[in-house]
Amino acid sequence: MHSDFVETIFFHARNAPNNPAISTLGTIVSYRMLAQGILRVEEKIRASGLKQGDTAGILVNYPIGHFAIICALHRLGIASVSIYPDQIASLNEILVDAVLADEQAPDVPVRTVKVDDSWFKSGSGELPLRASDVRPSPDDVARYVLSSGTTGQAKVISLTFRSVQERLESYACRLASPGWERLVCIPSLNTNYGYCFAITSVWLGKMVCFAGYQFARQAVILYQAHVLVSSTQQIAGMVRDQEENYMPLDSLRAVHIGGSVSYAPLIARIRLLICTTLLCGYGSTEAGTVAFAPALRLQGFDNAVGITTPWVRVEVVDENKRPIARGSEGEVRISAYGQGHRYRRVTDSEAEIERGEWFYPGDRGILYKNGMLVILGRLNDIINRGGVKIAPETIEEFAKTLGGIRDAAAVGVLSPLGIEQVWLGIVVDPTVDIEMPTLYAAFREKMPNTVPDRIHVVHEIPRNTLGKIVRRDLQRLLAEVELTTTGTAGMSLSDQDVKGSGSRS
Amino acid sequence: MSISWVDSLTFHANLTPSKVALVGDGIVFSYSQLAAAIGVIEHRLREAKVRNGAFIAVQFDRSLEQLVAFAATYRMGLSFAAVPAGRIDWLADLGCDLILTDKLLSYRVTGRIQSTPVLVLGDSWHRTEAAAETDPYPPRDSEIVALNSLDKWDQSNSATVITRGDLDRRVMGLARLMATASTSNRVVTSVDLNSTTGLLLAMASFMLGRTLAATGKAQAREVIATYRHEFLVATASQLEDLANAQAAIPLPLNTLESGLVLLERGVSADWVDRIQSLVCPNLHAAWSAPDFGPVTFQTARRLTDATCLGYIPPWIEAMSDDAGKIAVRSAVGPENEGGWIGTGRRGRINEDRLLFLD
Repeated sequence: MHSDFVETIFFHARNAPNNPAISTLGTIVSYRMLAQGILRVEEKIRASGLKQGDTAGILVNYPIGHFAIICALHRLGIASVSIYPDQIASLNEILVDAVLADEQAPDVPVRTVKVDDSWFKSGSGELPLRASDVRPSPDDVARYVLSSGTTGQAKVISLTFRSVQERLESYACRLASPGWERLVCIPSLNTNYGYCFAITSVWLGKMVCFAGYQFARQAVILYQAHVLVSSTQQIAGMVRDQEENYMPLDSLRAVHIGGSVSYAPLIARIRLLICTTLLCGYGSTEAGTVAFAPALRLQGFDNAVGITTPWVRVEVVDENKRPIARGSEGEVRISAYGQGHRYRRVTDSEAEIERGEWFYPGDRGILYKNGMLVILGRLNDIINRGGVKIAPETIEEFAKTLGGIRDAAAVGVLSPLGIEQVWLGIVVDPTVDIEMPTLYAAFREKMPNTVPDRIHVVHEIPRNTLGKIVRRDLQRLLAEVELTTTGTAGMSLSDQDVKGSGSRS
Repeated sequence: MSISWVDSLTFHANLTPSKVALVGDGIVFSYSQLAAAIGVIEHRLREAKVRNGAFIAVQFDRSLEQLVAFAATYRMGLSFAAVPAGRIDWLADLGCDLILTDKLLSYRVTGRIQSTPVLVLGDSWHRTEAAAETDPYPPRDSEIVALNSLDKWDQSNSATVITRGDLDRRVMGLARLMATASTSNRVVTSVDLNSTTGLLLAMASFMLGRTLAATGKAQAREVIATYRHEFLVATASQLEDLANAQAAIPLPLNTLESGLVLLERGVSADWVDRIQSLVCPNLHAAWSAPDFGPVTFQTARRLTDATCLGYIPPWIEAMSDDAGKIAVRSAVGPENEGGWIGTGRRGRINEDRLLFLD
């Protein structure tokens, strides 16, 4: 299959060579420079011995270099997976042939290819913008995305070359209105959200700027960006910064957010402090954008997440997986144009891809006749912290390994901004002296992505007669303890609200 | 599977119902009104017991009805051909299952076409009749759709038969060019919506959720100045007329941020400079083959040779044979499995994929 995405970058490099393609807060790279960078990286990758059909991990912090490597691998027909240092363990889940890394990563389980500045710097003049001679099959895997997953357990989603092409089209439609030229993308390239928005921007000949949420406002102002893309968590951080130190972001025409259901208090603050045109999305790594709508369109509809898009088929089904009438409550399932599929490593040399027609995100919902999708909740106890799904069991199991904790249970509790937080109730051994800072430190060290926002000591964990945790009662119990200890029933926005990046779009 | 332009239109009708979709022929249609109008025709066709896969000939005085009728037939999985108002005789030759027309033209048809049922829409059909409730994105079994518009009839009296997927990809291709070339929402065009290009342009505009104003070239400047449109799509000769009019009596067209010129021939650098200074500062250019859609695309300021029609983008494969005949095909998607499509033009393609016409 023709590599439309990267070849189009080369097309823009011929057609509008000096137009900005990709930037960070301090650097702008034009289409000509990006194309040259991709060609140079391509040479280095060939020299490393990687070939079409292989899989390469990318452990490169610098977003522009990271993006050039993604493009070069795509052009060579090599599947890529972007990883963060704290995701290195996930490499065991994928059959990776080599990791391209810009720093020492001692725990990497496969061959590491060192990436340095020479990969991107021009050597002997301009390289010719020749067409790629590699033609991978449309069903070959082009990209793996590590997702927090609908089960709260990390999982690997594969996107074929066909899926990537189809996502370019669907994300181009999602970004079509209002018109724009420059986009600031807060989610990083290791998320589906960041990856899809970034590749679509350059596919359309526009500029994408990568900036963490702490610097997103400066990036918007510096580049007079028209569109901002963020997870719910990240935008909550921007809202807090705006409340503390307001900066007018007048160039923004629209803000796209996704990650989790956004609630009225946060939406109102985003519209007041960042941009009035707010587009809320619901989706997943597997399906891409499933539904979205302007925030105003969702006003008055409890738990509405948007209008289902024309590139997905959404059905609500009963317990026998039979579709039920519009307006009825049931389990949501999705079949999408550009669908990704779950990838599982089976043995040291084999992996399988589940290519089912339908993807079940594990949400309960209602689909109305006008396409409006309402998500009423989860079919399980997963906590969705602004897009990062956390299985409470993983926290509970870890807590119980810490000395002096007899029992533990975790629940999701909404913050005043409408972002779900992780609260942990623990029953302690009275003979042991437990210090809270030590508990938090243990979580930060061993489970940095699942550090609870609150840990409260309770007399016992509410359980039913079968011993199953009654999480609704636990929520109530923890709220009472919170009220007693801090004098407030709700939560203030904590640092944890704005850490990490959402995988849902 | 592909992203359907009608499904996109329905989506925007649910997403931003009051946003203006189409202005033209003295009518303003919001997205919800347009979707409702499509629903009305769909309802009428169902009442007329039209079956999936049937072939509908459409004859309307105004392009708006034609566009809405096409959308309705497309949604229902029917085939469609538009026939010029003056060519009643062609209707008889088509072998269609039903003729859809308006009250004015129905007088010409009635009695002259005996064998085919005629469905007549009243004067205010889109206001007075309730739309049927349908699935937002209904499944469509029929894969064949015949797209024919009035300019095609001028060349030959045969329909262009393409599949639904091909049509959607063609619309997506144009939508992609529009999204690349423009940074704004309000589109104005002086391209006739009765032409194939006009139809595709309207579909692409709906796919992107844009506002499209269709205007004759004589009124284009007044429309832009009054309604503050931001993106212009016009043929090279239409742009030339606009520039001449601007040079004589300037009107404030300063809201026009960008434009897409549909090339009929190569243009010189001076020509581009003149258009960019008088009409629209940021101009992109595309050349389309009649049965294929856009073949070249680029920023107009890089057009420096009057025989050059621009770069062939990577999503299109092109070749010229020994006689110099140019043929094209899509490099992406199932269309690639099909054969080459002749453009009817001669020329050459250089190693940078620049297309030069003889």
